[in-house]
Amino acid sequence: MNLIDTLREYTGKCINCSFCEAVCPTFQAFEYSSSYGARGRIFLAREISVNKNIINNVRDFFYSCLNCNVCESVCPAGISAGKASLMVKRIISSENEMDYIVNALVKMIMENRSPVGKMDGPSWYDISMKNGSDILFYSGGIYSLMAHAKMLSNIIRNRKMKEIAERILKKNPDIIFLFSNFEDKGLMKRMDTILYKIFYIIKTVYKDVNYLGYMEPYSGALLYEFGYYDEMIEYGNFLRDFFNSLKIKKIITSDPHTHEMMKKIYPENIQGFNFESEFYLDSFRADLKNNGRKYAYHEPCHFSTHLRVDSPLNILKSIGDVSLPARNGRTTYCCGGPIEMLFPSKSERISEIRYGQLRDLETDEIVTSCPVCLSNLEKYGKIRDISEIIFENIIH
Amino acid sequence: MDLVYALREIVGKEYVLDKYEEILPYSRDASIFEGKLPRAVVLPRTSQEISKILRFATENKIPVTVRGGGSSLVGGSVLLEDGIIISMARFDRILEINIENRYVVAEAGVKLDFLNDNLKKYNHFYPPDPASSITATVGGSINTNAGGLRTVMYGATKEWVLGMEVVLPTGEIIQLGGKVLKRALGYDLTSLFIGSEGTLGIITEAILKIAPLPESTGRILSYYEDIENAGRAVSLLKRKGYTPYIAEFMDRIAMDSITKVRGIKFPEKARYLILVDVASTKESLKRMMDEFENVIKETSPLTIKKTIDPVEMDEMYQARKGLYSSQLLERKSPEEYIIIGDVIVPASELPSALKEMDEKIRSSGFRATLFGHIGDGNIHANIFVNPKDRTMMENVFRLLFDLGLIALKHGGSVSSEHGIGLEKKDLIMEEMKFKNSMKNIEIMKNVKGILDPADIMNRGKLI
Ligand SMILES: Cc1cc2nc3c(=O)[nH]c(=O)nc-3n(C[C@H](O)[C@H](O)[C@H](O)COP(=O)(O)OP(=O)(O)OC[C@H]3O[C@@H](n4cnc5c(N)ncnc54)[C@H](O)[C@@H]3O)c2cc1C
Repeated sequence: MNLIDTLREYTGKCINCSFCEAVCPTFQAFEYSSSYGARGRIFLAREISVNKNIINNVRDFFYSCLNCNVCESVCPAGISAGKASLMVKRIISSENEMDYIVNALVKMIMENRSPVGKMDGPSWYDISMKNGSDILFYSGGIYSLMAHAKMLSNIIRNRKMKEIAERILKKNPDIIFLFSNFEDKGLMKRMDTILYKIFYIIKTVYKDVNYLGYMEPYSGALLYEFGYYDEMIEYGNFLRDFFNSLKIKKIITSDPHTHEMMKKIYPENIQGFNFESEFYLDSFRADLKNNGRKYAYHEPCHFSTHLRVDSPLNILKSIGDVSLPARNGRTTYCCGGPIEMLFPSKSERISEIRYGQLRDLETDEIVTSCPVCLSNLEKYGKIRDISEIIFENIIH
Repeated sequence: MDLVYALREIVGKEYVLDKYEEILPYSRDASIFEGKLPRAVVLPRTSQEISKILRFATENKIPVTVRGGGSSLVGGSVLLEDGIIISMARFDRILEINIENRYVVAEAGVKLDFLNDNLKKYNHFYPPDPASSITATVGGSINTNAGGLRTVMYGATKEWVLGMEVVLPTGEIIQLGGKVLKRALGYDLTSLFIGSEGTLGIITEAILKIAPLPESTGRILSYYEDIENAGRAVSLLKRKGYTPYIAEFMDRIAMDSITKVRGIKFPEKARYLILVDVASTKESLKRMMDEFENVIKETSPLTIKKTIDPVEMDEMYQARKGLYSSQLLERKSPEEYIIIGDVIVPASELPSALKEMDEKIRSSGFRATLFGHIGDGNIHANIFVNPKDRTMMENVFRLLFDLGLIALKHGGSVSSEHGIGLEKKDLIMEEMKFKNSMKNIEIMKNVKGILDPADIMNRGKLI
């Protein structure tokens, strides 16, 4: 079945009950215009499947989808506006003139294995950590990339600046490479230490683990999220060969986006991509002290709706008293991060709402287990990474 | 003056949608009816803005349809003529929670689940609980007098509305009712707006009664081979003085669709299920559940299952709430839709009325499922249809008509909780004729004429 037919059949199951619209964070952030919400997206996707002419006018509606998949959790017919959006993005990206920022990022990934042209390793990285073990700690470079992404979104949140950036990138997409030199210094430092703690925690389980630091290629998650399917396949093939060349058997990931790519997306789409994959806290067993503190936990959507990884929450529960906001589990509320680079102000609105929900729980600290969530929610107040809490409470 | 320009002058550019790709999703609600594309969708934020919009619409005779969650099952929130849709989505704030005086003031666009999430912190709730509560709004549910799962114990929406602010089609903003439990101030205009289906004015905020949450609840699932016995369970409970917190009914097709979507399994032999929730104090829950069970046993169920596990109970509760949409999986093709019958009979009539309806559906040849909020006598028939097949549609409306007549014959009503909208305009007439009350229609039309002199509000619906 071709993509258009699949889209028609998939969206044909919807009866417009609007349950999805009620939980869609972008519906609220985009001032309740239906086309910017889950129901509207499914409606438009169905329309596209019978009338492709409208495709040129709908880009923003689909690229604003967070792919948090909470719509699927509440849909009694099991439809996901996230999945429908990915299909539409695939059609858009293969046939239409795309957002120049997205284009430039994709070009960089394909050519340089990094959205900004090069990967930074953590400051504490030592080449001896590339030790030939078949168990690989793979961060996908996402921690340091957050510091570059923040810089980029700071610039394009200003409409004028965005227009200028687009004009420049249209002429020369490679200019995005400049961002490898611009970063939010504070965030970079924070991510550096978080990564150190993650590595430390991994070492409590796997003494002999291979880590590539600045030599790591990017995970390719953006290719998937932007709907660049063919590029994603090409990139996945590259990653498979790369891991094979290092004789890797097991991949330990440390964030939900990279984890989803390794655990689900590549194995489902790339032949021979069958490395064992686990999130770094899944096998964590060291003793922890219960400190009696109160924690509010923000569940990353990719863990609660896409993959169901609950090890971070369970570990946090063993350290302190954990509260969850009303929107939790399969109906968690996204941090806004996935649209940070395309719709910065709307992304911030979503982060602000979510941070408010967490703050209202009146706990001692707010915790999450995703660098994207962390860097976005942090704009509104203090938030810790689960690795920091574990590190402080591990009985050494 | 250009319509879109005039609307933008009132609410600001951003809040008037007029591009094809933006207004397209507003051409449907959850019913089978396809509305006309609106000339514009307006998203006001204040009553004053609505007042200006409505005054402009009245002066220029522009048809207006109001939309809350857009979950109407009878075409209530789609537009039939060249006009505008006013979305109440930005009226999304809870303005006051007053536990001592047991009320909450909420704007019209507040979703019922959101309201209850907030009330839960105070151990209170707003009882009206349509299965669509995740998306149904305060304004929409008042305008359809929504019922739901808890109606058996708490009644429908009309029992819970103390007052409201309304913008009339001519632009006046009026306050109705108040924050007290009783008033004797002449005609009850608050009630006039309940169930008015957006034909008289726009509710912008409402004062709603709230109640303490029950201390504990338990569930009894009883399975039957025979529909009459299933129907007897609820009437017998009531006759013996018991009021369930929730009492729901579903047939085998409904159970199977839940199994498909949620993985919940039901006994193989069971053709009908009665789900009864018991609310009680912690100390007496077990005793009450035993007493309910003993009564239910008298109706010869195949098996009975009891649970007080909140996770298990919630799973089934959500499954029941999503039942309508789950049944879409039973469709033979994407062209097939579901049309929902919604009638009500007194509890004592349930066994015989259910049997007659079941037979009527079987003899009609339609594929259909029976389920409903049986605790209050509400029966839904979900019928699979292809809206493009005209003969089929004529036949299905004939069937719905016949089901309505069965309800009337048993002392019930043709419309229980979804409203009239576009779907039941014939049936409301039939009920009035049956009750020799055609004068009611004349009164309704006169009221509409006074409040909406230019006849702009939700034209073509209700009457
Ligand atoms: C899956 C599913 C299950 C359902 N289950 C139930 C159920 O158990 N019980 C039940 O009663 N109903 C049920 N319904 C029907 C429907 O959801 C309810 O009638 C609901 O209360 C409508 O609320 P809404 O906000 O979506 O209103 P809408 O569909 O937006 O509007 C309904 C009507 O009210 C008018 N309206 C909306 N807001 C205002 C306002 N502020 N001022 C004036 N007029 C207004 C509209 O013009 C329209 O005529 C169900 C629907 C679905 C899809």
